[in-house]
Amino acid sequence: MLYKESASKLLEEKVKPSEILEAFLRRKEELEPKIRAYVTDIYEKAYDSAKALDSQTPKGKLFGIPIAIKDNINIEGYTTTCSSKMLQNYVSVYDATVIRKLKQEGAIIVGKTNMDEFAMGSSTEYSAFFQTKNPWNLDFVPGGSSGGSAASVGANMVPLALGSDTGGSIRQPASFCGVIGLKPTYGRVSRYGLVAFASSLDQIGPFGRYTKDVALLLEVISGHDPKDSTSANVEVPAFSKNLKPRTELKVGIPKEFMSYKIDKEVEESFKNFVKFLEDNKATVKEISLPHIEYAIPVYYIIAPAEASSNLARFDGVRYGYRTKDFKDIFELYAKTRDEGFGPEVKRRIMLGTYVLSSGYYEAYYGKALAVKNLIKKEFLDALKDVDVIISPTSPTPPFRFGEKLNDPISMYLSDIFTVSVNLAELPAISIPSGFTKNGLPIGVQIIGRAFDEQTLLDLSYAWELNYPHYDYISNV
Amino acid sequence: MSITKEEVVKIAKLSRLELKEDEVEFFASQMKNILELVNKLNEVSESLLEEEYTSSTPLREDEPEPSLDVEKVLLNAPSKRLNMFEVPKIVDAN
Repeated sequence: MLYKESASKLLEEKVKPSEILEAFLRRKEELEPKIRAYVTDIYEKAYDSAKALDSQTPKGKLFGIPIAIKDNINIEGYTTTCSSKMLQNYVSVYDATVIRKLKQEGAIIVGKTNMDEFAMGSSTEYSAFFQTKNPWNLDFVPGGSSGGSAASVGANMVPLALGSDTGGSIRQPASFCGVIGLKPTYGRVSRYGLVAFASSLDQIGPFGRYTKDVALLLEVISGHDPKDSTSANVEVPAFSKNLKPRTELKVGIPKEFMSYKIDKEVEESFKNFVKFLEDNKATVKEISLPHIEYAIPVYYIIAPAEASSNLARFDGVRYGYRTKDFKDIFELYAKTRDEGFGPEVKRRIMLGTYVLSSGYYEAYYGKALAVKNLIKKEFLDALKDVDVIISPTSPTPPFRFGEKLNDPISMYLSDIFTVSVNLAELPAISIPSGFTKNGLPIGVQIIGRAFDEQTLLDLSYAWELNYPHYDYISNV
Repeated sequence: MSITKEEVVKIAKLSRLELKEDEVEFFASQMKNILELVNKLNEVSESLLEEEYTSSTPLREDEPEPSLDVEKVLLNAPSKRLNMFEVPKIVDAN
């Protein structure tokens, strides 16, 4: 069955684009009514595009490969809703740089995926439209904020997807849905056309079930872009071609991470991964990141501060939702924003406005930036000694719907292992490490040096040869 | 750390959010909890922190380039007239 294969193999065997698309389309027809990963489903249209490619000579690194896109990335002619009432009817008037690159390489977009509103959340429950279910058990969340992308790949409805990661929004749902998810180094991938949330932390990245596919997609979307001046002018390695299993590495485990409350089954799965490393010539040692415990407080100052500024553009004037009745311009703004945004977005805008307001700016934002710098320095020092740093991706397996919905802090703590990586601007990958006895996926996170995504991919490749997680197919 | 309902109303105003009465109460209690969480930062000794955080975005030459067509820019406008966005009157004629 084609939907179980890697994109790389389908390309190698020159399977007809329409055959590939049809296999995933069938799978989507079977599972999407239960999982609901897509805000906009364009599989039928994608099938027509695939059909048109059949007669062409293959050109491009992703020729005829279906891909799903998180609904905060602009594709010209389609809605980009950010799963918000504010942008429900917003039609993109240009392509994001990553989309332009995908089209150039022959990829076929099958839909826009559900997410937490404006990427704020860790369960996709904050989508203003509907819940996306975990492809391994419909009573559980898929993680978030890129929950639709992760669930779609996890259910084999598509071989590849793009998400965005500001504090764990690719890695945590990848872990919850049993797939690979990679957050590239800050600056590796252009954000032009990604709806901004926290600009100093946001990064677009790939989801896939096979390391080789993830490497290929990363290679396609990476590179400097004059339209995003934060994108780095560094060479993009041929990640997929360079890929080789590699475990002979110096690996660090931060002792501070292990002092957190971690679910027993997650801990066991992590230990099993450590044992695999030790059995395969890795040198595993304990390291220390003394100020890592402040990552969550720092994040919940910086991210809301930047969000409050970035989301000021939604004012009911140029695009997006506009309230019906207003007597003056202030009321137009205030009612539009009250009606258009959901509770988590409002919470973060207000928190951000508060920490940036006069009298508090230095004490909160200034201090948070200084501590961010300290955390980054500690990571960089540690990575002089070790090649990679590992941890569980999330302290718990997927949780049930509603479990954390009304307790923002417990939701925030679900990202305790991932947020610090965004603060340090480093790359990190989440790979499936096993399942709980109830059949829910568990993931391990590998953090690397800046712009050294290759080592993360090589280690992920070595792991999947030992534990072919892609052979497990969800059945809900 | 506590945050009063009056403060929430003030922040909401700065945020251009017209909160309903029950929302004010709801956010007051939640923001209090979140601020307690972020106030942990006070434990970090100033002596460990670098004098000034500096991070800058690389600049490019300011060369004019074509941008979006007016038609595309106005495509999503909730209200427009001719080639302009339409908004309520903001300047008092008197």
